[in-house]
Amino acid sequence: MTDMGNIVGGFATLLFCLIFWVQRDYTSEYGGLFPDAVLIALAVLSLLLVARGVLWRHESGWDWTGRLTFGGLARALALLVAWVVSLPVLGYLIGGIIFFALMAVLMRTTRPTWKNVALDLAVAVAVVGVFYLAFTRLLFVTLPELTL
Amino acid sequence: MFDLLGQGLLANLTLSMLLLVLVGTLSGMAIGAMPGLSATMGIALLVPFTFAMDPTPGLVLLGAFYMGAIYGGSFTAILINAPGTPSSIATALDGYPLTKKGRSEFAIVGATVSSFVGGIIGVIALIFLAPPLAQFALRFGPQEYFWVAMFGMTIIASLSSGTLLKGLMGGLLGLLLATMGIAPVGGDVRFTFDQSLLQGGIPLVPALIGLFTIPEVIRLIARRTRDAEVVDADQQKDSLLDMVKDILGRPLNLIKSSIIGAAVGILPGAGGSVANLVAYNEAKRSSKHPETFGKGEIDGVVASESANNATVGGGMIPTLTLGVPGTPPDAIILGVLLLHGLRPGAELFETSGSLVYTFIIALAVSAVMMVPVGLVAGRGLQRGVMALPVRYLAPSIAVLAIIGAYAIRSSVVDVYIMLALGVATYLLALVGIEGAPIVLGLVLGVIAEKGLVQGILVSSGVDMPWTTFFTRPISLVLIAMCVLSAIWPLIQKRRAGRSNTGAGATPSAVQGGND
Repeated sequence: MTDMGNIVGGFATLLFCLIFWVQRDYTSEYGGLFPDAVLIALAVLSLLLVARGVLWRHESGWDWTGRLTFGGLARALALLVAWVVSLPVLGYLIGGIIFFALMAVLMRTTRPTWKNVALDLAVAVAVVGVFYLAFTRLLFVTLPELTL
Repeated sequence: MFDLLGQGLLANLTLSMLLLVLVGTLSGMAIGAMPGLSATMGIALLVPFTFAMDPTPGLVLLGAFYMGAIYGGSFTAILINAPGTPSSIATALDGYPLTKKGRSEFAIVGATVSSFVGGIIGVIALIFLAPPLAQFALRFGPQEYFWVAMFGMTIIASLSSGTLLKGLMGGLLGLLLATMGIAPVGGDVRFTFDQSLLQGGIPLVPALIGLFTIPEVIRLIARRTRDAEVVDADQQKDSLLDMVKDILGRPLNLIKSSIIGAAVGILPGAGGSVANLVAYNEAKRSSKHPETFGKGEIDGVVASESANNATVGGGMIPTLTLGVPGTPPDAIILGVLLLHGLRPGAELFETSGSLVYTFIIALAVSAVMMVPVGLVAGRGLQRGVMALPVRYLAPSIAVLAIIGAYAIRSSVVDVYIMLALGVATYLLALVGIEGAPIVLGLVLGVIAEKGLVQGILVSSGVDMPWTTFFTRPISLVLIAMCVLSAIWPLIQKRRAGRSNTGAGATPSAVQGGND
């Protein structure tokens, strides 16, 4: 029986090495000295990990204890990716309120009522608004604006 | 010198100066606690406000702010696993597990007391050891800096909670990420994937947020519950005094880590981001129970926080005596000194002794003020975060993470980098490659490459330039330290294995390290 966790992990880092290797384009004598040494070392260790996964039978490569359900993981990734991708369009304030409220509603463990939704929206406006004012007015940090 | 110290103390005890130190410490803590706003950035933002001030109050404000910012970084590291500054990376390693155990208040108190001790020891080092230590630091060439970085990398041996192989792979991944952008020597543009914003490399703060915070946010959203308890039953019985006594009952760790912090601070370019990791590793190496580190060990928080605050005083040693900034914020303070026509060096202590010692004492006063301010503000924040329902905590952390990643360069690409690294770290953690070694590689990569290439270039007159890395006396000492640091965790594991076997250990206890 092989250890899929180590095999997958080893191949993933090998792929990472390959992506970096094809990007090599050095112009100075020592520009590639350090990155090439790191790339080669990482590739060798990745192969070792794959070999370990194939040859060693009694090692747990997957961290089963910390694994999430597929639905939960999909919800988390979808919300975060959508929030970040929409940032240049919706801006910090509008995007923040929408996704904060959406996240709060979707994280409720019971079916949300309209009252719950209104409460989550109010909290979203308060939290996102306070951070917006603190950063833009007090610390003079510019945040992405709505561009629609 | 003692006359000038007395004058500095008296100057700091005036109401206006105490208020200035209080304002500086408080605002520094607030900035340091926000992921994305580093101590360096905060000090840079503060500089224009000091233009209208006399040199003494201006420098006092900057010094107090710096001290507060380094301490403030521990709050978010402990409470939401988001190091507010790179100086608090190691604080998160045990601070957040303490929060998960329902002992966040203890961790906050530990960080406060340790920051105070570290801050004071750093100032003492600054007062008494400045000239000789600054001269010694000048003997460090590129070869020595390379070995300092390698010494930092050996920490992976003790950071790897699972297998050493996966820890090393994480470290190498971090080193590889550190090579992205313009090379520190030679100027090659590498691995930018045709993105001009990547020419500056992987920005450290968005990377830190991604590597540490995003995996936690993913877990919180997916589980819809938190691991941490609001308050655990035993914790309610611990009074503030008991917690402070507990922390002060670890004098060896406090003093040793503070000395490490002051010493690392003296090395130009190293600073709190390296010091906290080195002190953490040393605390783990010398601990009687190293297996508890990374799982909520207060000694880890104590080591990291005392070391990073000791770098404040330590970093000022080369700044004030040689004009060589020990840490990035020191470079800004050095700029302010020059702006006011003050030239660093032995002459500065003679011609502007009153100003210099007022500034030094202000750092100590700021460290003292951190205790009451930190205990009130830090514990208040801790209670607030713990009482917050998880459906509001997760999006609040996401909001802070997005702002933190964006604020450094006002770049959405940095937010993408943060998310990509966070998701990748979550997935890599499933196969046992954790975020901490990746961060270590990312922080130390530039120092290592710069030392390696510069070392070879400056020795190009020698037949085999690389041999100079193994022949210089300080390099040899550093190599010995690297070897000891790398093999010590393995020796400890073997010893533990033997004693467990001797005592008829349970199978689960022996399974721990198969590497």
